[in-house]
Amino acid sequence: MKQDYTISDELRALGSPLEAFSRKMPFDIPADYFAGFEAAMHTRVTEASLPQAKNQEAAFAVPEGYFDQLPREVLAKIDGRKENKSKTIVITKNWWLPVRAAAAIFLLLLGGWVYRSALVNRSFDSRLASVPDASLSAYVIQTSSDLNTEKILAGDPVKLQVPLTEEEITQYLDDTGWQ
Amino acid sequence: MKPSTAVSVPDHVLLASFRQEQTKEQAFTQLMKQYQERLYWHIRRLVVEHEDTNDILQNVFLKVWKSLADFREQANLYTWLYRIATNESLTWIEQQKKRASVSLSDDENPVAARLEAQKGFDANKLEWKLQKAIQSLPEKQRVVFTLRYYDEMPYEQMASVLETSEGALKASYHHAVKKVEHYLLNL
Repeated sequence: MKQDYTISDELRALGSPLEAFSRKMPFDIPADYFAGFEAAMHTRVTEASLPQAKNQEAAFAVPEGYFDQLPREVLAKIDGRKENKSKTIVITKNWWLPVRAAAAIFLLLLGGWVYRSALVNRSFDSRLASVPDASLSAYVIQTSSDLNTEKILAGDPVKLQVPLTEEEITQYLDDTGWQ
Repeated sequence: MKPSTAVSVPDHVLLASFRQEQTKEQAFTQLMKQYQERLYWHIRRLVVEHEDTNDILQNVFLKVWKSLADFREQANLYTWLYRIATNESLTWIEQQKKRASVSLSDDENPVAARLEAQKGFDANKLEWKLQKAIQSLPEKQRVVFTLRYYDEMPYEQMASVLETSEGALKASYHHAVKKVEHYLLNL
C-alpha cells in the first residue's frame, strides 16, 4: 500500500469529479469559539467532578451559622417543653374516644337484640300459620273449659280462662311435630 | 481542518500526565487543544447546526474526562475519541429522527431544513450543493464518507472507529461517492 496515497489520488483513481471540489466547509462558526470552548469545558468538568453532596450544598443555601446554633436551639426547645409539662395540666380532646366506643358497643348490642327478637317473632308467626285450623281448634278445646262454639264459629274472639304464652304455644307445636 | 495548536504532545505523554493528579487538568486542556477542532468538524458535518455540535462536543469531552484514566493504551487515543464523537452524533441523530417522526409530516426533511437555515446558505453554490448531497446519504454512510473525504482517515483507523472491516468500509465509501456524484448531477 502506497504511503502517500491521498484522498485525491483515490478519487482520481475512481474517476470522480469530487476530486476537483474544494473541501472547505461552508458552515459559519462563532468567532473565538474554540478559545472559549476550553473554559466552558473546564466549568462542566468541575461541576461533574463535584460529589453529589457538595452539589446539593451549592443548590440549597443555609443561613450563616445555622449549624452552630442548631444544637443550642434544639436544647432550648426541649427545656421549654419540660417546663411546660410541670406547670400546666394538659387536657386533651381524647376523652371522647372511650365514650364514643361505649356508645358504639351499646348501639351494636341493642341492634342485635332487636334483630334477634324480630327473628323469633317471624319464626313463631310462620310456624303458627302452617298449623291446620283443625289442630288449633283441638288445642283450644283441650286447654279451654269454657268454650262457646257458636262464638268461635261466628268469628268472635275466644277468651281463654287460662291465657297461653308464646312459649307454651311453641312447646305445643314442637310436641305435635308442627315445626 | 487541522488543529490550530502549534505544539502537539504525543498521546502517551498526555495519558501519563492525565493519570497524575497534579497534571491531570493540564493534560486535559492540552488534549482538548489538540482534538477539539477535528472533533468539532467531524460532528458538525453530521449534525449541521453549531449549537447541536457544541452540545455533543461538550458531552464527548465530558465522557473523555470521566473515562480517560481507564483508557487502554493499546487502543489509539485518536480513534477512541473519534469513536466516542461518532457514537454521540449518531445517537443524537437517532433521537432527532424519533422526534421528527412524531412532529413532522412525511414530506418534511429536517436535515435539509437545517442545512438551508445555515448562515450564508446559497443553493446555487457548489459547496452547499455538496453539503446537500452528503446530507442525502444514510447516517452511517455519511460517517464513512466524511471521515474519508474530509478527515482523510485511513481505512485501517476507520475500521477501528466504526468497528467494521476495511473491505466493507471501502465498498461503502465508493458507493457513497457514486451517490453524491449522482445527486449533484441531478440537482
